[in-house]
Amino acid sequence: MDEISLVKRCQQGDLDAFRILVERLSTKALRTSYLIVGRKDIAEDVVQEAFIQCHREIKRLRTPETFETWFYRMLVRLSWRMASKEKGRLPLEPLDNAKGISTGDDDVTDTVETKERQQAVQQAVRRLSAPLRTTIVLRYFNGLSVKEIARVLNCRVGTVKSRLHNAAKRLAVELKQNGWEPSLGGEENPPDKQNVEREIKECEIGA
Amino acid sequence: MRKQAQFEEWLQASLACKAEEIEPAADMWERVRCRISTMERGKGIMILAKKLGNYLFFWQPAWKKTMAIALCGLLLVGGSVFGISPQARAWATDTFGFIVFKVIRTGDGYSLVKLSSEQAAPEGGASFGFGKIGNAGEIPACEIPAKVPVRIKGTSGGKGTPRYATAAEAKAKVGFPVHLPEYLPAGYKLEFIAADKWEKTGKGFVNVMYRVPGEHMKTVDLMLTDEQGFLKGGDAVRKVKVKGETAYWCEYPIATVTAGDTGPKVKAGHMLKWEDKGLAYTLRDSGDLSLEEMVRIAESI
Repeated sequence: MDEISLVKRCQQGDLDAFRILVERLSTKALRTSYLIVGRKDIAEDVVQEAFIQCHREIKRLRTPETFETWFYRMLVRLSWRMASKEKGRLPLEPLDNAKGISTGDDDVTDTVETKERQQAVQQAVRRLSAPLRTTIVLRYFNGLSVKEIARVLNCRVGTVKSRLHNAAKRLAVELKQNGWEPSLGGEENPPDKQNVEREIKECEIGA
Repeated sequence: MRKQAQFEEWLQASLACKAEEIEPAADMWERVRCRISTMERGKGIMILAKKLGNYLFFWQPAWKKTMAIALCGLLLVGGSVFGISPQARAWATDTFGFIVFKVIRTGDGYSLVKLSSEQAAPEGGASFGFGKIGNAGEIPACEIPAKVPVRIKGTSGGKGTPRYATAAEAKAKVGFPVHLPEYLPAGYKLEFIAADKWEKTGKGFVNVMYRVPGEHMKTVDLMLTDEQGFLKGGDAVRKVKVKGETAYWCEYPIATVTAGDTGPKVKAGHMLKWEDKGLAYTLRDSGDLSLEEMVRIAESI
């Protein structure tokens, strides 16, 4: 069953349809919230609260096509709210340094390097401000377009682009300080120009 | 591989890797369903799948915001009405304003002029004010600056001033002889004798009050003190003789307002001032005693 019909059934008070919706969305929603708030317990509370809020207010949703954007908007707002409430009360969860590192003989060096790089990126993302981090998560984890992110965050497309640009710049600086810098491939196009071109194209498609 | 693309790939991989650290709990749906059922049970009486309150109060306001908006709206509307409409301002002044009257001396006594609150500064005459006339009760006699007697603090014989039964007791307090009038018009009785000394100068004063029982406005007040320069103020001053010495007879306004009155009233009181053997005497009448009677009282002291 597609998402739109599920949403319509939920709007008519069908609890089974809502259960399917929860099961479909829960993993992605939980992970998105976790990446934004950085703590598992808070992320679980946020997602639970988001689903309850969703059930309460789904009847007010006029266009079921925009359900996902609408849901993520709730999720992001709740994540920010809960994170700001809990800020300073408990320490952030430590990064798992050794977890997941393969000890295979052939590719052990590559795997360790990849893991270290990923941890460096994760640390850099964690150090971003909440709006920048959320924009990055929605773009690179949820795969939303700039326009969709603008709808989720209820801001302008230009703001999203600016946040993406600033976040990328800060991440690049931080990674460079830690000795990680993407290497140049065969093509000579400067990355910034390509990025701008792609964003313009997305904007045109969205408009 | 392009630098930007590689960077994005790193980001995607890192975020995906981090996200894999968390999985939804197996009982996620059960917990959500439980919360939903609890909320629905707490909703109240349901009629046709809708909460009763939703039929009665279809608008569910946020009370704090609503109150704030209502207050702002009230201030805005009130400000606009009173800013634009002179009638509204006049009504507010009449209803809530501090009514101020100015005492003016006329050819045959005193009269009152109602002032607006802006004109209340007491320049060139006495003024007094009160809230609502009907609730004001009686106010004391109005002491007018400039041409009216200046009452020195502590000489009113009020509750703070010690009272004595006889003139001899008062004399013991102030240290100068206290003689009371032997003559009083018919009906006047001694009410109290108050005496004290001023802390700063060490001079004393005696305040003797006579009143016609049951008549609030019929009083004669005799003040004697060894403080020099006590004789000040008054209107329509006339020189008269008391025991062959020069005395001054003058008028002063007495404004009164009583409950149920349509407005305050002002009448002329009289005051006779003289000096004898180093003592300053002031005889004040709030009733309608004539000059002759006041001189007679003074001469009987």
